[in-house]
Amino acid sequence: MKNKLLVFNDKGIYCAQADVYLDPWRPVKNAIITHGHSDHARFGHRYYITHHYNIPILKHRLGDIVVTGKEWGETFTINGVTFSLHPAGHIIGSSQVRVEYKGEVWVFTGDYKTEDDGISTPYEAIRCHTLITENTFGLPAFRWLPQAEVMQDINTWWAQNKAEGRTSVLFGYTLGKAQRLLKYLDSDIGPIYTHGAVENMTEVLRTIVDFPPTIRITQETKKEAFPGSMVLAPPSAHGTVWIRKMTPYVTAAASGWMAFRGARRRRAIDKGFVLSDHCDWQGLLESVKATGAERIICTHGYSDIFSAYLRELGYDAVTENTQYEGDEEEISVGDEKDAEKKEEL
Amino acid sequence: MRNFAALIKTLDSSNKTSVKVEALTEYFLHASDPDKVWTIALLSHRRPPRPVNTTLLRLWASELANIPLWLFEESYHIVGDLAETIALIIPDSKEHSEKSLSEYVGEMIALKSKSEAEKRLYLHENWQMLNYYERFVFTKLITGSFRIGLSQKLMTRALSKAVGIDEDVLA
Repeated sequence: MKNKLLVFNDKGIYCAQADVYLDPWRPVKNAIITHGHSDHARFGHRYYITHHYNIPILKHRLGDIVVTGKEWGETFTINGVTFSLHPAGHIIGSSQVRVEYKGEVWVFTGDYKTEDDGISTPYEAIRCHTLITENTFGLPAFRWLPQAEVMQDINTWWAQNKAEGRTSVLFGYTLGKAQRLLKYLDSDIGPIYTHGAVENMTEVLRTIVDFPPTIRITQETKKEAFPGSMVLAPPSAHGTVWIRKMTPYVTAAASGWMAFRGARRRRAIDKGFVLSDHCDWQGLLESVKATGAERIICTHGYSDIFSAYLRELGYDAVTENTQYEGDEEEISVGDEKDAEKKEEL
Repeated sequence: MRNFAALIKTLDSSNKTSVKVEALTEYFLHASDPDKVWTIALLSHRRPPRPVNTTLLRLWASELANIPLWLFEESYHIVGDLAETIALIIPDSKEHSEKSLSEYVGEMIALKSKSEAEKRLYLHENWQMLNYYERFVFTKLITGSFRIGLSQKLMTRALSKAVGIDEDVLA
């Protein structure tokens, strides 16, 4: 059998012909990075290649790195292997990587979602022979509602909290979810305050996307300013001293995991909004089909279940291990496990 | 069913007693008498006799969701609650049922003596005519009780507020 174009080794997804890694989890020489989340964009590579939208994000998170920016669909050839980046719709700048060598095409989705969120460049299915797909929400129990419906619920919740004189504290991941929420919050309801981590990242992204105005929460921010307002914070802020200043407040989280009643209850959050930056079950199935790929490699998430189902449908589907388990959305599961442990103590 | 499902959702999503009593009072103010009676019974862990066993529920739900049974079982294993799994897996349809809680309970009591084919048809029709949370509550009526942390005393307090009869008299 001939050599595979891409293999999974202990450092990442590797193209030996070009000596290039895709989203490597250990330091390597040449790294193509799909997006800025910390489990995909790691520190310590010598050369980074990524979509140019990701450059300010990577520099903000990783400091002074050597990085080359590419446009959507721009091809670059390394030792006979042709690479190009295509929108994945996960967060701003998130890319799929198309790899072609001697007529054989592989696509690595990175993290992706099929719904157009109005911020990320919308996902496009890329024709290929072999597709490497994530499976974060690869279970039929995950079925997303349209973003507009969820955002309407969130704004209604905020308005109601305001009427009751409370602060609305909404948890969303610092890069991606927080900006997606911000973009569609109705700033006519009241002011939008941000946790420092959210504000720093949003500041970086304001050069690419227009967002409603935000106010950074500092030591000087008066307690009296909060009732009726919205506070955007990372999930890690939940249960900290920082949040006490917002009393009386109600909390909510926006994540795909909120589809499960238990997830919200275990984390002691008042309200859960089901809003994900990954594909739901149907989204995964539709995109697999749209690529025309015969061979599917399933990575992080419910990959065993998803690949077993694909095999039933007649695909040549396998599972490969990666170290993308620390996805910023998946972290919530880890948090829950920790929370359960704490409850047991 | 709409109002009852909304009530359960509120009771389920709050840890605050005041919110629960307020939601119940509001519900009792508008509910019909048969709905009031069934609500009290259900929240006191009484329910109609189980018309369908869970093996058949799982099979029929997977059929309606158009997925193999093993995939349903895997999902159930991860979700951890049968009614929740069924509610998540079955898509909403366009038509929406406006039947009340007591109508549904009445149908379930009658369902017990029906044939398997009739039971299957009934569930397939009704699962699709409810939204996610109503489907969850509807299936809970079949599979088990509502554990929503509400004492008899709180329920009495809410009912008393709604109907204007003293708590002691009601109890």
